[in-house]
Parts: sequence; C-alpha cells; structure tokens
Amino acid sequence: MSIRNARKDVHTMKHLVEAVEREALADGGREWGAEHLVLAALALPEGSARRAFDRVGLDPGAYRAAIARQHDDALASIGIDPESQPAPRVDRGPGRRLGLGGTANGRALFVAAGELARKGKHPLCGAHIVLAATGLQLGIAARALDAVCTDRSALSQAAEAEIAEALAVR
Amino acid sequence: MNPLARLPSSDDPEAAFAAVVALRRLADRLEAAAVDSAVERGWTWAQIAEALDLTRQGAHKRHASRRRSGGERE
Repeated sequence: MSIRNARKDVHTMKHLVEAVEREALADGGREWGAEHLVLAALALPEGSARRAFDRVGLDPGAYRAAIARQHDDALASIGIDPESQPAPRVDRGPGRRLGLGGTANGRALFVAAGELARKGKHPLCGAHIVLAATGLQLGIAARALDAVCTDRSALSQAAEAEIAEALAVR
Repeated sequence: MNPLARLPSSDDPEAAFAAVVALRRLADRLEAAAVDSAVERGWTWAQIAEALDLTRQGAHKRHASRRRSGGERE
C-alpha cells in the first residue's frame, strides 16, 4: 500500500470507527454489527457508499428503517410488542472512541471490505463495504438489504463503478 | 399466554434466529435502561454488578463508557 493510500485509509478508518460506534450506541447495543458498519459507510464524508445506493435508487434512510423493522417484526413474531422496549439514549455526538467490539458478522464484513480494497490496491472506501455487504447471506444486515434491494447484483455493480471512479480521480 | 406457544416454527430457522437476535438486542436495551436508572438513584457499581450477576469490573466495563459518551452522570 502506498503512503497516500495508507493516509486515506487512516482518514476513512477514523470516520468509520466513530460512526460505527455511534450507530451501535444509538441502536442500544453493546457491539457493532454488519448493519451498523453499512450505515457508517453510508455516512462517510467521501460519499462513495451513498452514491452506490443512489445509482440503484436505494435510500439510506429506507435501509435504516428496514433494520429496525427486522427487529420489530422478529419480536412481534414471538408475541413481544416492539413498542414496549425502552428507547436507547441517542444523544451521541462525535467523540472519542469507546472501543466497542464488533459482532462476528460485523467483523467479517469489515475484513471482507478490507480485502477488496487491498486486492484493488485502493484505499478503503464506503463502496467497498457496500460491495462486501452484497455478499451477506444471513443476519440482520442481509435481511434488511433484501427488504430494500431487489437486485443485489445491480447494487454490486454500482459499488464497483464507484470504486472505479474513485480510482480514476486519484 | 404461554410464551412457548409463540416461538417461531422450527421449520423456519432463519426467523427463529432473527427472534433470538432481536431478543438479545432487547435485553441489551433493558439492561442499559436499568443501569442508567439505578445510577441515577444512587446505586453503586458494586450493587449494580451484584444485581446483574456480574463482577464489578465487568459491569463497569459494559456500561461506564457508554454512559460517559452520552454525558450521563457517573
């Protein structure tokens, strides 16, 4: 990896780590999962993940809502009123790292995105996370993606196009 | 109601696992809300740990940084 790529990686990682912890805390969890990593990628300032969603007409807000709906529907399926659960305290601004651990799926998605970036000799960007997420089969992040995205291969191609564009302007 | 009557069908493991994950998340939220409430009522970390069947260090590790990040009183 070049020094320039390494610097970009550090910059992206800083934003990513802060955002993924913020998403996990806002969700009331003690660990961040793959779904939080996708949401964090969508919030990155470099914008490649968001643009990949845009290319196929996907709304990041709809993905966030789909995650909540997965949990609510699962609770309702066993007779628990989702409205009865306490809301997490969500006043989490940017701040220092808390060192939250990741779930198995969250860590696997992060590793897969890093591998994609390394293989392409490109600094990690949000589109790598979206591209890796299109390969998720099970779990909340996958179920939420299926709820909003009817064509994963189109999303995968959109993420690849964003990565190629980022490479071209480098 | 017998809660077992509402378990997802065993022929749909994916739905059953989704329910398990959602219950874990619900338990996390309940625990966080209960800890916040206890701290606000003056409970010590030792008392909270005992009530949660955790070590004092474990309870503090799970909740202290979360509370600080939200600006709650320690």
